[in-house]
Amino acid sequence: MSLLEVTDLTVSFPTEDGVVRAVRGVSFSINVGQTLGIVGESGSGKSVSTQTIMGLTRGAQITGSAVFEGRDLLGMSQQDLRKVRGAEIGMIFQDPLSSLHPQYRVGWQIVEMIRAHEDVSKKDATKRAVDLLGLVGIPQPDRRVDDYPHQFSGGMRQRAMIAMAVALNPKLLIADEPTTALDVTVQAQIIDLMERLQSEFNTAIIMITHDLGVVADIADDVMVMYAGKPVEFADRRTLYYRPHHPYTKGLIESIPSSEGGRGRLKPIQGQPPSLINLPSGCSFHPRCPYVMDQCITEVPPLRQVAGSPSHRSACWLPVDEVGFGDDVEAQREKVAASRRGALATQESEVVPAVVSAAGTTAPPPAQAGPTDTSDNSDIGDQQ
Amino acid sequence: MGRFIARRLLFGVVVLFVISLAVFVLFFVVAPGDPAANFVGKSPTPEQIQQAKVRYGLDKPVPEQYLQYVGRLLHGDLGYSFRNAEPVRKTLLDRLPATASLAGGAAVVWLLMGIPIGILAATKPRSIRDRLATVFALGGLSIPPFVAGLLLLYFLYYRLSLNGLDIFPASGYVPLTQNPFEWARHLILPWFALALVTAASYSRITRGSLLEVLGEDYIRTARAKGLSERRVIYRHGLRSALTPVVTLLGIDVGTLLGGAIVTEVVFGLQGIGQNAIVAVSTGDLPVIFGTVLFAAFFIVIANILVDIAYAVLDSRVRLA
Repeated sequence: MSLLEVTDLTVSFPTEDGVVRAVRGVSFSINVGQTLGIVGESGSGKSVSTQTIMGLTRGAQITGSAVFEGRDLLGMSQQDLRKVRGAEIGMIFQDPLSSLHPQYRVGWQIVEMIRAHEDVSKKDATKRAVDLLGLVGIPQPDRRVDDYPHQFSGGMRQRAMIAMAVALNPKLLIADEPTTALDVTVQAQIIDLMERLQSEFNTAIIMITHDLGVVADIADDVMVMYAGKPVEFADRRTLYYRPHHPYTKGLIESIPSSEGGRGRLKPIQGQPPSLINLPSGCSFHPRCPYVMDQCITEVPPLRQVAGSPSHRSACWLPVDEVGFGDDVEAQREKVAASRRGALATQESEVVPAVVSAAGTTAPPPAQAGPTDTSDNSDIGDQQ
Repeated sequence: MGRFIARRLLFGVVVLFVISLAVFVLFFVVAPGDPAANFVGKSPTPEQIQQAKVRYGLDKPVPEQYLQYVGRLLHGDLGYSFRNAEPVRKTLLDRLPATASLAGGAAVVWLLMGIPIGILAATKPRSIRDRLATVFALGGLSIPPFVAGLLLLYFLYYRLSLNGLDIFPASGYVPLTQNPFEWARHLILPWFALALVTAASYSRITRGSLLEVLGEDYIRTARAKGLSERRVIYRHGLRSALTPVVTLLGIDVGTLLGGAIVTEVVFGLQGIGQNAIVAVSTGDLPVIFGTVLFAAFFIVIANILVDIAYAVLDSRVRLA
């Protein structure tokens, strides 16, 4: 039996401008000691999904279930959920500076966590806090325990956050972009630390990130999300080498590689859609180079993809054409062209060619949907 | 910390001197009429005025007059009242307890009203109780203290007394050391009259500040830790949210120590503010000077205390 089983989770926020459909039917499960990576751009619903499971989204309309060790977290009273939070499911957030209370000592904050769930004396809890800080690799933990967060470096703060999250030896750790705010060198250290703790305590980890490199390091399985829906599921290797969904391919192709650094990056064109006014059919279709008539009219279900039994993708392209390579590309283009009627032809004219001619810079097209360039720049334009 | 306080005190002294210069220029140089005429009573002879000039050093050049004035200040000598020849310093110190009791008590009342109302509003934004808090704030801000004072007097003194219930006296001040109960009984109405307006603005500030803090990442962390909502709001939220309130409190109390003029007059409290009104209406220059400097002194001290409180409340603030 899996540790956490999420089924058909939807989360919407009523706002003055309309209903924001942040999560639109997410299902996944995670086993003890496993790592699930959730990947997607900002606004794809990856953080909202996990925070909803923890009861941290306020004012949202939620449906679906999230069964953790036989109990549905979404149907629990706040009282019961509080006992799960922290003690059984730990969380780590993106920015460790703003996620730690600036006016309390680091040790105090860890002690508070321990004493919220266990009946131990302040002295014993402090001792444990010191041990935890040592465990996550903070030098001189007996002295640093009395520091304030602003006296720590960025990496140390994240280590302290991790120390706090694992203080009660939770069965599941939800890491919400834990390395995004850190230097690249520190990122690797934090990932190493999480892997070490995982093997030591057999903790399951949900790793939310928009950085496929992080997922490549640590995840067993990966779920790719787009506009509040999972678009592709696969184990790590399959996802990297044999992706099916054009969005996943786009994400992988927009990673700068250290080897063939000569070629231009291929960013995904366009902007993520508005979650209030979603595109019809497949919500990725306005940005998809293979757009077909079916994509505009019908929502693609998750279908099993050839090659691996656990590989599923929500795309109308044939399920036997996966991965990269010119022949696959050509085959896909052919299929797309043959199934492209009047609708998609019109649509595809606003989608620029995936590969722009060498030497010319493809300017971002003026696309439909609200533009928040600062928010999605982390994936699209790593030039 | 010691160095910081020393530096701020030094700076405060400079501020007081600048204020003294401004006051001096305003009343002795800019103001029309001969200051010496104020010292000699009605319809004086030219000889009397000349005498007064010599006696008070008013025949000397203005800069020298100022230096003399500052020299006396340094000795704590604020001069003598034109009206009753009492030393100004003594008058002010005699009247300070009433004003301080009024200001301190009112501060307690407005904190006890304003902060809880702000918390209630912030923890359920856009709810009925948030809207009621807004009504309270708008109402409180729109009613000036003298109106609030008169309303309180009408209902809680006049109407009650008509019915034989002499619970609240209309005016007067009983020193705390003499009879604490009577002290409080005489001050309750002025406290509320003065506190209502301030409580209204404190409730708004608490609401805004707390609402902002509750959106911070560390509040999400506190919830993710499995803390009770109470603890999240009071230990984590309020801790940060009250910092701007502390700033205001220091300055508001500092300002009030210079005299809560309207409230003191309405309730017949023999405080610094009421004294200042009499001084202004009778042209009692030394008393006016003294009051202005006294008030400025409290504001300077209040500012230093606020800065120290900041450093204590927030470890990121370094005092240097």
